[in-house]
Amino acid sequence: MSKFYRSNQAIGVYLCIGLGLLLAYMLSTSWVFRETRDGFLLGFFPLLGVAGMLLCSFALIVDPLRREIPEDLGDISWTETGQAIAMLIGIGVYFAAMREIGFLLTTPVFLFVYMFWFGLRPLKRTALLALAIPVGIYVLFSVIGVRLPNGILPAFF
Amino acid sequence: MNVEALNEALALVFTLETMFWLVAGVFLGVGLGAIPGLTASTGIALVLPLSFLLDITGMLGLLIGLYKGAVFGGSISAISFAIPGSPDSAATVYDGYKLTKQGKGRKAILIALYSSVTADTLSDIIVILIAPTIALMALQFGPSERLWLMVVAIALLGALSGRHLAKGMLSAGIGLFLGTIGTDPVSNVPRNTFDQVWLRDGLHLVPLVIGIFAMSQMLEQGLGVLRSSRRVQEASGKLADLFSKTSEGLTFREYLSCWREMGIGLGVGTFVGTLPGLGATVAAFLSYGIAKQSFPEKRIGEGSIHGIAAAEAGNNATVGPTLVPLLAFGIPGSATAALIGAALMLQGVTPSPRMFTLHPEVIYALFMILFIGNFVNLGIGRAFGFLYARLGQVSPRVLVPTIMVMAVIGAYSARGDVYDIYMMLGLGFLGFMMRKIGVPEAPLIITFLIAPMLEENLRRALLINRGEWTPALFNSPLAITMAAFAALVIVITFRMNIGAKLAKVGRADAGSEPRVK
Repeated sequence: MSKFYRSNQAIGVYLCIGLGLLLAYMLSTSWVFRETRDGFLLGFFPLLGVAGMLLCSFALIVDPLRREIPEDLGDISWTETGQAIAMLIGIGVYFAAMREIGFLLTTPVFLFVYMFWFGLRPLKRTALLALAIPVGIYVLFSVIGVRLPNGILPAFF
Repeated sequence: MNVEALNEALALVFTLETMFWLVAGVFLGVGLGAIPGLTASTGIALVLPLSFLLDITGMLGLLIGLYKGAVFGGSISAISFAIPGSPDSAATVYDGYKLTKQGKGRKAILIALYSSVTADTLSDIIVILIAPTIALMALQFGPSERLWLMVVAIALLGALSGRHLAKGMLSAGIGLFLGTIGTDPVSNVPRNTFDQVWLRDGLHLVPLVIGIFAMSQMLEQGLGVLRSSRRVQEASGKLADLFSKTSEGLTFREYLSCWREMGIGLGVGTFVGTLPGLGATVAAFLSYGIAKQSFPEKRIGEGSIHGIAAAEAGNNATVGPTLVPLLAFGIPGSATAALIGAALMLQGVTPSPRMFTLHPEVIYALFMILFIGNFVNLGIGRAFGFLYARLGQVSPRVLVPTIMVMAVIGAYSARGDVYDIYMMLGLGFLGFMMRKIGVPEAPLIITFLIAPMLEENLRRALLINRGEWTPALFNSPLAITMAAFAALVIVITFRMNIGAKLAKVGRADAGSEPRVK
């Protein structure tokens, strides 16, 4: 990827496009211009937030630091962005499964998969930790009075 | 002094439960601080849902203990592995790690602990003395002065919390926008909900905080783990020195010889801590830089306990003062103060100058916990500090998935709402992207918290002035001065690029830049 696309200037352009669309969407809705009991526009503060963000994004395009590439953005690739999204999707799936099947059955699977993905070896150690950590968390939370989803298992505490 | 409230506070603080949570907070905080990559904000974000279950003093004990412990804990891995537990302890690396390589790691950790506790205790005393006076002044403010005070805080936060003004202000803009999602505070009409019924109650604080502070950091660390197989083996052999009976400890004379450096740390940390946006990292580097310039004969930077004393006194001295803007004006000055303020709000106590008259017992209890927390920090640091060094060796391959599970539980257990989890994940990605493009998180969370107050004060000022904007905004010389000051902060920061200069503070002096993980 060319360096320009990672520069503050490019980030400013992307943000301006996104925020411009958000502003257009907001202006197309009726609630923004509705007057409240005290005569204040309902959309004043949300619009102020978007306008402020737009102004800052524009500043990124023109200010003296515009050619600079943010330190952490220099080494990130599309693959890594995909990996971050995959991690989040995995957590979403884990949560959905946890609600149905229960904390104690799903968390070891989640931990095993993620620890394995992150390169924890040998497998025996990964499996042992994946089993022990959820039990520890379950006991700790039960002691302090937080009930974790039991799912298809009976409640232990 | 309200004796009745003081007695009530004494009865609330000196209970087994409060003491337990204070000790647990410090214990957890030192551990979190000692693990590279975990900061006080991450820790507080993760335990915030737990604070629902506690009474107000238990909650304060847990959070303040965690905060104090984490700021000191960061020095342990900085000294043991040259990897600061958090950026706050980056300045400690220069001398701390050199001492560890000389087999004097024990001495380094002890001076870090003693200077941290000394400066923290003295700065807490200053807070206890000045906060009520400032709050008394703040009580005289009308809605327009309060409004401009918040604008000044946002301008300072945007200007000083990152190296790029536009990005700091962008973060504040995101916070303001997110803070308006939900229901209008006056007319109770839904707004900015994108026609989603589940957004009518607005964004809940717990998933926001966990997403922005914990999940985003775990995503970043997870990617770091996938990218490299960084190890902390280098210094492992030297860890044995920490536990050795024959290893050189710290004498009382050596501790006393650092009084000038601790004094610098106390002064700088207290001042920096009370200003919104700067924080412990800048305080540590400033104190370190001043001490190094002032006492060249002490060879700071070459493995000197005086360098550690300056840096650690500097960062810990910000802990109490960072609560001053929160208590005196109701405006948090840092991300951690914002989280403590949020926890107070979740307990039904809104931080503001009126808190001194409405909830004096909570103020007294908070002051007592701030003070006692230092002795707990000292005890736990002295007894377990060397053991905590081992925590730096915990593999992020185990830690990252475990914290991800804790984040899910934390976000879900607060309200039991499924949408909170998906919101937390979305905000986690937002936080991750913000980190990547260099947008600081602190202005977002602080503006999110003060957005309702900002709106309320503007609308009240307009109501008082029958809808006339000019008298509503500029009805007193103080309001005009504060408006001018806010504008000046933005113009000066933009013209002089102050954020970038502060970000570099101290580093040029130190020669090599420590690795901040």
